[in-house]
Amino acid sequence: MTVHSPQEVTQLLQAWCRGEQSALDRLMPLIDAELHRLAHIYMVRERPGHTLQTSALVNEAFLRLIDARQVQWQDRAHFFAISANVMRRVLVEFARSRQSKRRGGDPVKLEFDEGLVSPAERGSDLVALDDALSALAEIDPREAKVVELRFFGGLSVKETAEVLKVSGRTVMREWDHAKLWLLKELQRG
Amino acid sequence: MDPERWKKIKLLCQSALEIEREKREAYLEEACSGDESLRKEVETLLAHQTEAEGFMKDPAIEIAAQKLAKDQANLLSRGLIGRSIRHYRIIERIGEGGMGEVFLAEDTSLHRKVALKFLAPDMQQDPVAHKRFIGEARSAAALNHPYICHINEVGESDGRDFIVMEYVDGQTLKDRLEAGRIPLKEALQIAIEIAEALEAAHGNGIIHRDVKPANIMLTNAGHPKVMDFGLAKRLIPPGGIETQDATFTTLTRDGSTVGTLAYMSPEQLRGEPVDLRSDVFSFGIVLYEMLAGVHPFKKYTGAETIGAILNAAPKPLGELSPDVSGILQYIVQKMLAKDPHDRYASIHDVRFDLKRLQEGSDQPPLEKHKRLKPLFWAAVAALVLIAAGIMGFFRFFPREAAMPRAKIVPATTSGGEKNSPSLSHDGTWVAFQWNGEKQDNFDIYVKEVDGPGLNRLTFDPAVDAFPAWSPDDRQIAFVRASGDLCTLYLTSPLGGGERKVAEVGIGQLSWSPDGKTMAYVDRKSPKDPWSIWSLSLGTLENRQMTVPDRSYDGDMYPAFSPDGRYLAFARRHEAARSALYVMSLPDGAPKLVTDCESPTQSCWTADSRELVFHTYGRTGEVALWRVSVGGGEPRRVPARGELVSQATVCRNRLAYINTTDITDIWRLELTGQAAMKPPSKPLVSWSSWDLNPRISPDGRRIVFASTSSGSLEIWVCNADGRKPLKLTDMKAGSAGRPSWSPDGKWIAFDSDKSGNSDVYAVSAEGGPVRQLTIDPAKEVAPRWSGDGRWIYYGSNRSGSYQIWRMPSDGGKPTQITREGGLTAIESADGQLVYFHGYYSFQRKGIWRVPAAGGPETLVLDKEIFTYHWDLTKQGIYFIDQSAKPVATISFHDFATRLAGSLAPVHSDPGFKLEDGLSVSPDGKWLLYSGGVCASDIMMIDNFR
Repeated sequence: MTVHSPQEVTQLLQAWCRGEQSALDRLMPLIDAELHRLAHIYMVRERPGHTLQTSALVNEAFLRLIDARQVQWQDRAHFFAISANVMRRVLVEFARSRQSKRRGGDPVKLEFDEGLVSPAERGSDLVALDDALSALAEIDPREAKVVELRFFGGLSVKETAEVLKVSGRTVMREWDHAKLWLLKELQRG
Repeated sequence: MDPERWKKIKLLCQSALEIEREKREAYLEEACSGDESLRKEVETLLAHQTEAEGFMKDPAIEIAAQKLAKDQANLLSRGLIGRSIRHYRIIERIGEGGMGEVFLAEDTSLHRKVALKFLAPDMQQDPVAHKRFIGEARSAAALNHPYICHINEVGESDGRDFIVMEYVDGQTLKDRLEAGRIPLKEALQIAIEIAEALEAAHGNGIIHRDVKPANIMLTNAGHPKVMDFGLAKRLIPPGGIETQDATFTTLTRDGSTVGTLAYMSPEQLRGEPVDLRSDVFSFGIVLYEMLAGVHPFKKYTGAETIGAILNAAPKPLGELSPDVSGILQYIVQKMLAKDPHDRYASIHDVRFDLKRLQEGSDQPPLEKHKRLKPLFWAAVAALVLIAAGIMGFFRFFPREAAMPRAKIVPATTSGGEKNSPSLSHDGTWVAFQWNGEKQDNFDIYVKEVDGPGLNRLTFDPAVDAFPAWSPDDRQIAFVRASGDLCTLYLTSPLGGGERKVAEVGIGQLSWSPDGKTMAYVDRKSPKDPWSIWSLSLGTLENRQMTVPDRSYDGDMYPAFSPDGRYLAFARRHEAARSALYVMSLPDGAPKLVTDCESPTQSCWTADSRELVFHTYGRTGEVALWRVSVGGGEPRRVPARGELVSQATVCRNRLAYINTTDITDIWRLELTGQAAMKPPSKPLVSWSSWDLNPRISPDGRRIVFASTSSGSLEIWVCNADGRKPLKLTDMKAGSAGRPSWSPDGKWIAFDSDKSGNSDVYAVSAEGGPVRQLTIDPAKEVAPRWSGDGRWIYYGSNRSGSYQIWRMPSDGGKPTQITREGGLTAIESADGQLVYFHGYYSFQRKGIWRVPAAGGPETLVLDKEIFTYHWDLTKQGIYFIDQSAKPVATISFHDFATRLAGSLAPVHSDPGFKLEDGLSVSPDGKWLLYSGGVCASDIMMIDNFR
């Protein structure tokens, strides 16, 4: 297995963010491996300070994948915003790839994915959620950003407020409304 | 959708969410004023509210992780469920642990439920582990005790070994503890029963080795069942985890082992052979957790947890659970002794003491009963993490970004300030500057790195600094600074025989590898920039080595490379900006290496290829870095500590300074024998930060903010520091600046929990926290009025910080000041409001304004910090920071209009003041907070 240097990964990530799909193909095995590692840690270890751990984990994954100094960070808020965005793309790609594997007919995966229609698990269909979120971004970009930062980036209310330069209360209000709208949208689809 | 309509729907929706459900319909009726389609849109959205509660509760990454984990599990389970193995019919999977999966099965011959545990594949393959596992299982099968989960048999099927165990209907102690701590009486009974189980096993020669809450089931009747005796995976190779980098990293990375590691005894973690006292330790952790609701050693990462188990003392149980008596605290403390010899020698003794405690016996436990005092361990453990809430901004580069690849061992652990560590060339000793136990004078010391040796080399009252070892380690050079003069001295590391060599500019020495030259810093005249000079030790001739441009501050911190070919130094452009340069000797042109975050002091790695330096960056980032002299981006050197600096390298050892910031609460007597004598010991020293104390109106209790729970929260205790009670749980929101209501029943404080600082109130006996201000502006520093009807506070809601006042149960506030103010205290008669002019308006000092409104007049024109004053009938007490050599507690008398100092805040000029000054109602004593920074030398081995 070829080992990619952080610089290579950064370039691939940047290429992908610019729209080059081929970059993603080369990246996926790496990201997949990283996700597996994170998944294992996340699932099995105790989580004393829940939210804190999540964004630390996301940032950790992000930093491990890229060479943080190659990219020009304007400030901390910028960094968090970008990492949440990348993590969103990565996770959604991951979910999408598993879905397509389904078409290949692996009986195990099919068995598991069938449980997705119940309301409680609606939040676990990342692909559908991503589509709905993109639709939301067309109407209310800031609200969609709140969701991206909190749900994909794992940021707390306070951190999200810092990134968007609004009050914590505004974040909560956006979050509450976004959830309702997304649920409505998902039910429709 | 048209954006206006979107906004309308959204606003209505959000407002409706903030109203009680019953009142919503009426609200919408009114707000939509007839627009039916609008109302329908809003209602459709609101219909999802219940579902929304659980929606996106877990972040996306957890969902992805869960799916992955399920996939992996499915692959195995799929094969087994529904099948029968011999006469056991597998029903479903009930759990998974470090060793393998557990299934619920039915024993078809006896018609009873059993649990089937399959050995994990990796254990199965390893012949040694496998054989031992089977052997242990067989001997554990001989155990027969009501509180031990019985093993029925050990079998094998399809190449997979499995254990058939008693099926226990209930929950694990781990699950139970997730709901919080267990009430004392119940916890004690369960603990005694667990002790019986362990005692029975030990009596049969079986050590459990993996005592932890996940291995203890609680039956529906409330009795414990201990499982998995002796089956624990041998995770730690002989020699311990610290000797093998890869193992260390893997073990703490791999989530499944972290849970087990958190309950291991120190000797287990070090890979030493264990005996039954190891079970005593692990049981001690479990007992602590049952009583306190928290793990005594767990930190955010596995590595830190291990460090805490090995080195840190857990918080005294009495602080976390008020009904834990001194005796019980002592019992647990003894179970958790790091050295097995200091622990209980057997579980039998533990059980004996617990039983007597339960019976209410007055007799002290088997050894003398020690009264426990809250101990403060300053930077003892190599791995200490300050609550993320306080150091939130450090997370720009998360601390866990790269696991340390090396072992970290604290080399020195005594108070005072240490600087300039320098490792001897054989790496066995470190020389450093220290102001000693009494912190009175800076001198040179040498300490053995892996041993107890500590020598003091200088005794002169002048400041001695910058020690440097000769290449043969037979001599140590240093500078003595007296006034403006700096003299170079040489002395022996064994002490004695110091001799003067020459005058130098300022310190910062570097000894050339051939032993012939000493580099130092000097300047031709005060108008010239500093530059690097070299002194020939044989002829005492000196020569200028670098010539910085006149516009620069100068060159400093010279460092010869180990191969003698280069000299590194820092060139300072202006006060805050500097860069590292390297020149080839004897007189090559200096080349820029890096100016990342203004580095200053640097040292070379053993291969002469890289420089290691520290930064205090723009973002407040404090870290150690390494950079190749050929150019390139600096990489972080993972180094534990709060404020790391001054690295020195020798071969594969890296030593550096870690400074910790401690704040305690101090009491000064104003009358009596000890009057006006600065205290030598703090009144409260529970955690890294204890500050902002306020004495209750009856003088019997104090309230203050403390980080002892991991985040800054409000605590009350008796005036002698006993009987602590935690009042808030704001966590990342922090809580600070508490104050008492005049009847002593309530505490007001501010917290950032809502995202913008607000005023809250809580009962002084504990209870729910009420938020009193709800607006997007920041409200801080609440203080009650004399009659208890109002609360004064500072707020920036008008655009700048002013004093406001609101009714004491929250409500419409009134603005009190116009020209700036932050902290306010109303006079006892309620006529005047004294306040501190917020300094951004150039208003240092204390002002006052009539409570009913009127002109604002200056009362005390002194440089006083916002929270460093208090008001009494007679005058104003304040901390005067302009006093020399150390700040003083001073008093401004209203009658005479004169201010005078009463006492210095501390005998150590290095004392740093924190917020808070509170005078007792009888005027006999007062409290303030502050502390002396302590620094320690840290060591990383295996540095490459």
